[in-house]
Amino acid sequence: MKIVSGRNLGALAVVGFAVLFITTGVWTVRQDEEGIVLRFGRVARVVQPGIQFTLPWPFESLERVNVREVREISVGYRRSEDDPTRTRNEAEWLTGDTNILDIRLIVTYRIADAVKNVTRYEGDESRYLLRKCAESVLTERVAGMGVDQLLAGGSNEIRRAVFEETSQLMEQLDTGIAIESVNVEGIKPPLTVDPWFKEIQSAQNEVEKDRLAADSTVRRMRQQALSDAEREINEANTYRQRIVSEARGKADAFRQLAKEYAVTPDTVRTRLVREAKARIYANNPKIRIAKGADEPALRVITK
Amino acid sequence: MKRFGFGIVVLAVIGAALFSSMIAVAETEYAVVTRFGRPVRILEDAGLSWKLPWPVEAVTRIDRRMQVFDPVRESAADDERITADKKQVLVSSFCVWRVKDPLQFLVSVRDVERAEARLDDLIQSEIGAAMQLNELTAFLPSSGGADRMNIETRETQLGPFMDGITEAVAASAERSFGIEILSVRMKRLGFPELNKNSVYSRMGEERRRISAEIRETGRKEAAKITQEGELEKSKILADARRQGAAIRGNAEAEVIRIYDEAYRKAPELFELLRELEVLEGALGPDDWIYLGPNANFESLLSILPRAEVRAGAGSESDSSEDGQ
Repeated sequence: MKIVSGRNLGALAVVGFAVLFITTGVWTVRQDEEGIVLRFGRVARVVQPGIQFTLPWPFESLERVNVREVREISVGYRRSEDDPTRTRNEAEWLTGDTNILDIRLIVTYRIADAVKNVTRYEGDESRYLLRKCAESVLTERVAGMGVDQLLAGGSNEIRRAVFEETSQLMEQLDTGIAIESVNVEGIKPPLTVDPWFKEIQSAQNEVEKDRLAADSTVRRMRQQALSDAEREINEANTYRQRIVSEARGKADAFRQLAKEYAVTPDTVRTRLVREAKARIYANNPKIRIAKGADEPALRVITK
Repeated sequence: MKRFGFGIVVLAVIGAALFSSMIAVAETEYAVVTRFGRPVRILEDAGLSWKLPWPVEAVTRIDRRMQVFDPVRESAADDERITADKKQVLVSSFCVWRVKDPLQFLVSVRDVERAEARLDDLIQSEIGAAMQLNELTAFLPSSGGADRMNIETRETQLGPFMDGITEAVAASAERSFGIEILSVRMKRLGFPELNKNSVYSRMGEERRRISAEIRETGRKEAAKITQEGELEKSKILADARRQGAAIRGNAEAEVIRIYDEAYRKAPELFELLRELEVLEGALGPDDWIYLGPNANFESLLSILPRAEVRAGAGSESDSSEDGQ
């Protein structure tokens, strides 16, 4: 009974309030967090990292949100820690020309607006909403593109579209999430038909090889032709030199002879005739000297 | 002492009444205050509010956060829809919604689970009906026809289609359930498992056709390269032969000029040389020559007609030994 005196009651209240304050009014907000102070459930203020004080329960409470950590979520496949929400044929997307492609993305994001994220969505729901939104953007984009367009450098367009449109959706839907990046992990034909896509690759390689081979054949042919052409011209030049110098030589000899002839024509003439005679007789032994006077001066019988 | 104890009881009662008159409304909820079970007012602002103490007034809290509704399907068949051109597709969608009119929400559907069941009916029937009005090409712009491979110019209507669904569902959900629909989006568009095999075989066929085309084009291109090469080669060679012939021709003309120049100085001597040469050429080893008693070798020259000697003058190359 003595304990419940007025003074003791007052002391008890003070001690009680102190205990309440220490247990529910002192908080540490870590370096990568923001603290949202709620007074009777209403957002009163946002506090930065460090030791923070609030009014004790039931007046105020503090909620911490990690606003620095960049998290990632996969689109088109699941990582083990992710939610088991079921989607069939995760990586398969229909292209505008009704091909099926295997597309996988990684979206990285962080919580940019802690208050929005905490007050508008429950727990990790916004994270999974991000995936669904990215999936829907991807579905729409892929439906507007052809398979070849996607396989040949479609990843840039996909990356940009998913980034922009999903960011816009995150904003519209008040998630407080800011997308940091979208990475296209792969755009591939499904396994069943992959060999046929590879076949195109090898056809292209082959064609390229053939083209190079044709090019080098042509190059060799041209070189051969050029060297043939050069030889042809060289030969012609050699021929020219030969016959011209021959002609010069003969012309010189003739001039020499002509000089002699001018001085002593008979001597030269006799010499020339004798030389010719010698050559003809050497070549042709069938010469008869006729004895009869009635014989003609000369008869030549050629076969 | 007794008075003091009574005081405490009174204080406690007052305290309890006071405590039950306080409502802390969180940012994440609406608080509906009901007086004897009848809703009297809605507290939309977060923070501390007051009401009459229990049991006069009670409070029902309704989540006002965004709800993401992504229906679970037992089998793929539940997502199957048929387009206007009788193509089967799988459409899975999700919906983002929140309570807008808590009172109506409370009266019409009461909780999230039931709300989502109703929403599912609404969304699925809207999608089903709208799909039947569209051909598959509205969503997959190049799914039919021969020009399947180039679709640059055509756009999928998938976005506007879902906007239409959102609008229709939103109007009806707000009117009937006090629910605001923020977005209904198509998560996946696919083909039923059975149809997929035909898609795969068509894809394979298309690829085979393309690789055949590539090979064909490649062959043609290589042939063209070789052909052009041949052409170039023969052109080079023809050019060279023409040049060569020109050089030879010029050379021969020069030779003639050289001889001509020389011979013009002593035409008589040249004539003699020519005659001797022709004679030498004309008499083969099998020819018989009879010389009469008054004949000498030089009379052989007389048998050659002048014209023949002239004609022989052209063939320079045969006379090489005579010049020496």
